[in-house]
Amino acid sequence: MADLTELVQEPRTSAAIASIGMGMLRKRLPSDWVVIEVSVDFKNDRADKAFILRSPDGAEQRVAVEAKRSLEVRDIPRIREKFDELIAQGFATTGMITAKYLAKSTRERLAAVGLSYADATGNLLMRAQSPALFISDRGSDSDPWRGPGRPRGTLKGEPSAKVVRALLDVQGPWRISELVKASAASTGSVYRVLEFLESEALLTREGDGTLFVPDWSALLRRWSEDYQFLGTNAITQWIAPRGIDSFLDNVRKNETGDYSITGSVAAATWATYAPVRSAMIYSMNPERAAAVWGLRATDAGANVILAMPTFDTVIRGVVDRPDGLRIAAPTQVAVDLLTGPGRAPSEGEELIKWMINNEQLWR
Amino acid sequence: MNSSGDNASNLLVRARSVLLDALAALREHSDAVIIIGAQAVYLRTGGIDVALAEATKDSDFAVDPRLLADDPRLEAAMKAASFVLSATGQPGAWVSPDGIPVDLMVPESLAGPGTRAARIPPHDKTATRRARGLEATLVDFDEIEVTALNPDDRRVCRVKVAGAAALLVAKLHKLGERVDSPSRLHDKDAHDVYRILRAIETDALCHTFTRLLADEFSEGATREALVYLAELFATGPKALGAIMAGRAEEAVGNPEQVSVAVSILADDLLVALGRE
Repeated sequence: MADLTELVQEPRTSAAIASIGMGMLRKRLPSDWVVIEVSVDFKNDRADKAFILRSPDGAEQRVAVEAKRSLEVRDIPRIREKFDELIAQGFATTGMITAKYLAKSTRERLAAVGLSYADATGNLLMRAQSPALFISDRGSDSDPWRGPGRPRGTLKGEPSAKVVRALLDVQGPWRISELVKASAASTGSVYRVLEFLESEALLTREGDGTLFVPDWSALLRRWSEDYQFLGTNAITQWIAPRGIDSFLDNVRKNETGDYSITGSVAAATWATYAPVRSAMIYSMNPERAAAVWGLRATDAGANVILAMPTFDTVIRGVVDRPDGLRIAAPTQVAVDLLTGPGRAPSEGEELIKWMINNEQLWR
Repeated sequence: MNSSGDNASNLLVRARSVLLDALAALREHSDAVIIIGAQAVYLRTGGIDVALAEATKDSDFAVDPRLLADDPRLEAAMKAASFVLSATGQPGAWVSPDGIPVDLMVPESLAGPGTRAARIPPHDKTATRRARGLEATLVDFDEIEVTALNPDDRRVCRVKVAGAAALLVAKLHKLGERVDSPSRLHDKDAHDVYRILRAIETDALCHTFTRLLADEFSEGATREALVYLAELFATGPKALGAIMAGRAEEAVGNPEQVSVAVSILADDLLVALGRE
C-alpha cells in the first residue's frame, strides 16, 4: 500500500514536520527495532523532538530532531553547532533535520556534515555507528508545495475550515460580525470564504447583509472536495490486534487527553450502519497515543488510522460520550467519512441522511 | 448428513444437541471426558467480534483412561444411546443417528501401543483413537454448565471443558502435524487459533502455558506446540498459519488484518513466555 504520509500531504505544523523522520524510519526498519519518542526540554529550545532508535541487540541512539519549514545551505553550519552542543551535553547522540522539503543541494550538504535528514516528500538519510545503520531513500527533487501564489477559489486550508464548520454547526441566519466571532477566523479570511461560497451558490446574502446557508449538506459536500481526511492530515496506519471493541476499551481506560474519535466509531453515536471494524482518530501525538493504546504500526491490514490534525478546527465541538469516548462533532465526522478509506464514504452518506432527518438534534 | 436447508447456526444447534446426547451416553464416565475441539473453542471465546461465524458439526472429546471405570464399556454406552461407529472404520469416530460426528480421543502418551486405536482395556479398541497433542487438555480444564442452543431443549450439563491454552496446544498440533499433507490442513483450524489468541489476554494465556510447561505430563506436547506457534504464526503475516487464518475470512472479513493480528498476538505470547 502507498505510504500516505510520503505521497501527498503537506505537513503544516512544526509538530507534524518533526514527526516525519520517526514515521519513515519505523516503516523501513524491521519490526524488532524500536523507534520511540522521548520527551525533550522545550523551554530551553534544545530540540523540537527527540527519539530513541534501538536495535534488537540493545544498541541505541538518542536522536535530537530539528524541524524546519524550509532550510537553506547557509543555515546548516549553525544547526551543526547546535547539535554538537546537544551531543556534548549528553542530551543526544546524534541529530536529524526534518523539513517539508529539502532541496538536493541542502541534502548533500547535510550528508557532508554528518547529519541525518528526512523530508515530507520521502527524502531520507539516517546514519549511525551504534547500532550500525545506514538508511537512504529518495523522494522528490522539486518542492511540490511551492506554487506561483495562493490558489484561489477553494475551501482548502484552515480559514475555510473555520468558517465552514461555523456555518455547518449552527443554523443561521448570520451577521458577518457573528460569523467572525464564531469561526475565530480573521475578518479578511471570512470575507474571502464568503465570497467564494456565494459564487458557488452555497450561501445567500439578504439585502440587509444577513447570511443564509440554503442547504447545509451541499456545503458539507463541497467542503469535502477540498478538505480530505486522508490528504489534509498527517496519517499513520496501525493495527489493534484484538479488534476494535477491545481497542476502544483501551482508549476508555487510558486517557491521553488530546484525541477525538471520528469515522464510523463516532458515526455510530447517531446512526448505526454496520458493525464497526475500523477506527479513525485525531490525535495531537499519534506516536504516544499508539503506545498508550497498544497499537502496532503496520503497512497492511490496518484497522486504526491516527490523524495528526493539520489545524485544530477538527477538534472544535468534541463531546465526551456517556461511555467515556471523546467524539468529534457530527459535521466533522461526516466530512471525514466522505473522504475516508474503504466503505467510509457510504457510511458518510448514511450519517448525512440521519443528520437531514434529525437536524434539530445536532444543529 | 447435511440437508440442503442447513445453515451454520442450524448446524450449531444440532451439533450442540448431539454433544449433550453424547454427554448423557457417557454420564457414568463424566469424570474422564473433557470437551475439546471447536465446540470447546466457542465455549471459551464466545462473544468476540470476528467476521467468521462459529460453525462446526463435530463434537470432540478427550478421554482420560486413568479416570475411566471399567463399566459400562464405552462402546456399549455409546451404542445404547444410538451412536454407531462411522462407516470410515476409523476407531473412536462415532456418529449420531442423524449423522453428526462425535470423536473420542485419548492422548498419545496414555493410549498404549499401536498406531490408530487407543488400547485402553477392557474398553474395545474401536471405541477411542489416539491423538497427539491432547495431553494439555487433561491438565488445563474446568467445569462449565453447557446448555442446549435450541430454546425448547432445557437440558443443562455440568462438564469438563478444556481451557483456552490447552485448546491452543491441541489446535497447533493438528496444524503442525499436517503441514506436509496440505489436503488435511483446514483454514478454520488456523482461524480457531486466531479466535483463542484474540479472546484471551496474553498474560492469562502465558500464565496457563507456564503451568502446562511445569507439569511433567503436558510439558512435551506444550513445548512442541510452541514451536508450531513460532513457525506457523509468529514469524509474521506471511507464515503459513497466519495466511490460513486470514484466508478463512475471505469474502466475509479482512484476511490481511487477521493475518497481521494473529502473527502479532502469537509473537506477544512467545515474548511473554520468554520473560517468564
